[in-house]
Amino acid sequence: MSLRTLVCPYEPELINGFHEREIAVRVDSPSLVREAGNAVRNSGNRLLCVILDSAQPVDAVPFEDGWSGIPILLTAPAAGEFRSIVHKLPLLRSLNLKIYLSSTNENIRDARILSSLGLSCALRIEPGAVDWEALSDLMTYALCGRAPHAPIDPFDYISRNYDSKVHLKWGAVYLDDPEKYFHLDKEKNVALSCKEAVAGQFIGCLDDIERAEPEEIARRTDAWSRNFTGFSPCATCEGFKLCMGSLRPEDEITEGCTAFFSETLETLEALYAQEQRAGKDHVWRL
Amino acid sequence: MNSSPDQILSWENLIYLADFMAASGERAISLLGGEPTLHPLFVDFVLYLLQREFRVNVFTNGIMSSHRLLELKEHLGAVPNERLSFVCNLNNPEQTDAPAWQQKSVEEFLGAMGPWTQPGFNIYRVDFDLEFLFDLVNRYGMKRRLRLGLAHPVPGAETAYIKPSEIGLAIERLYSYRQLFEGFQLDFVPDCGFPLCKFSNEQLGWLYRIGGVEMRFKCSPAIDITPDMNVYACFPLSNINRRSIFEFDNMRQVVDIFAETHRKIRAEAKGIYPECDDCAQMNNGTCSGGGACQLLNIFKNEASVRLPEIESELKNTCLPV
Repeated sequence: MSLRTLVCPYEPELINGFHEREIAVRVDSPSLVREAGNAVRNSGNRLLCVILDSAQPVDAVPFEDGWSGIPILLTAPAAGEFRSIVHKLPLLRSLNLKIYLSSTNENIRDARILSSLGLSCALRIEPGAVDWEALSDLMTYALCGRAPHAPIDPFDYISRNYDSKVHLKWGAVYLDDPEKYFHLDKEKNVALSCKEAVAGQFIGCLDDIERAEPEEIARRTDAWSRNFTGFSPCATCEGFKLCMGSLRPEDEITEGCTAFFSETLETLEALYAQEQRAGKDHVWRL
Repeated sequence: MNSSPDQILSWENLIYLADFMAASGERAISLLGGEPTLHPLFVDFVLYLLQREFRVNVFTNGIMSSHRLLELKEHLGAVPNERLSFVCNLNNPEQTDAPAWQQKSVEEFLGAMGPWTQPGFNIYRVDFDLEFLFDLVNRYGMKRRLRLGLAHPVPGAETAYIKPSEIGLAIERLYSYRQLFEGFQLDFVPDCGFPLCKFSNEQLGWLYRIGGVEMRFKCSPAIDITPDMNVYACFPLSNINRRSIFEFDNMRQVVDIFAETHRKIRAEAKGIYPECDDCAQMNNGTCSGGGACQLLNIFKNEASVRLPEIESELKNTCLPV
């Protein structure tokens, strides 16, 4: 079994208990970002990133020069006032920062604004009331926009990892992939996603799990296959290759997500074909 | 960040246009109206375009709420005036029926943003009075280059404009202010549509002396883009060959399309005066022979013998033929 990256709360004792592990450390206060990053680095572990869960919009986060060199994953409810952000842009651009927003209409628009100004973002796409058309516009911008802009995930991740012959899981964008990440509490209990960790839904203790991997992990990893037993609308969806039923809506109305993922697939295919047509660069010589 | 209502420029369209311009190698964007400062996101849009490293030029009438003016001062007051500039179209209060509060608002704007602002004046009557303008330029430390435009006809619309037969009179009137221009060290750039032949050699010499080499007697597509992403050659020709910006890959293509429209219009008549046909300056490209809009305006009362697309556009404008 490969060792997972650990997503932990910032608890020095917990972190110091690991050795040579890759760790994403979670804090809820900007004042702890540097301290938490340094704590992981000084503990003999590798720092994947510091996750700052901000209750405030991006414009209200007190970014610091001292955060440069620390990979930061900022989750915020919204971007906030553009005119406030604009004054912080030079600092924001100098940081190793990715901004995570939910998929509200405002955030879909703001992700485009931030990306166009050179700030990496990610939208958390979840089943429910998503404006798929707006998301589709953003996907087109993210993948086909002609002017230079920062990556927007999950589109950037999908386009970098897309292979027309295989299905693609992109939960890793949110560190939600049981094959790669374990989410811990301070007692080293393991959850398989960020949401489950917050809800206290743990599957066992890290030491036990790493000794003998419970079946729950395999069940979760293969959850997509359950769409083919019963009457899931996802089983016949042309966008399944990208979604794998992960966004199956409770009301089973899949028109929006089907159109979105189909369009994404078409765009990826077009980009792939374009790349093939362009051919490989050869070293020029006489 | 705030949203914008559908009928005005949205963030998404602004970003598309910024990308389009950047991909076309353009480094300057002008914001026009209506009145662009009325847009609820005006300040944010300007800040955004500046961040995208465009030079931004805003055409305004200078009339705005105290709240908007405060925003301008607070957020744009530190932007260097070579990166952000305003053209404030000024009207003589004695020749217009503008209420006193509007004049006050303009002066408040100039008080705040004078050093960023170039005075603008549109000649829409031949007895125009420019004296008020020199005082404003001096008092508010405005840029000392007047953008001087001729009011052009919008074919199909009832607007005040200077007829071809009146252009010479307007230039004479302008020349009568030469001492003030020189005394206040204000130069000016004639905007599109001034025919070279209506300036005497003496007037041209004066123009050269105060304005240097930037003398233009041309009419070419300015390229205006609307909030709903339509594009046309310029406001007076806004009903002619209107297209969607999404039809184009870059600005060069847009300019080419509207240059072709101009060419077609001028295939009918070279300039706004009969003597344009044999004019050396017209033939060597120094002068366009007046505005294409003036030409279309002349066509509107003639028999329909033109190229089908021009006739069709003329009909679309519902001209009273």
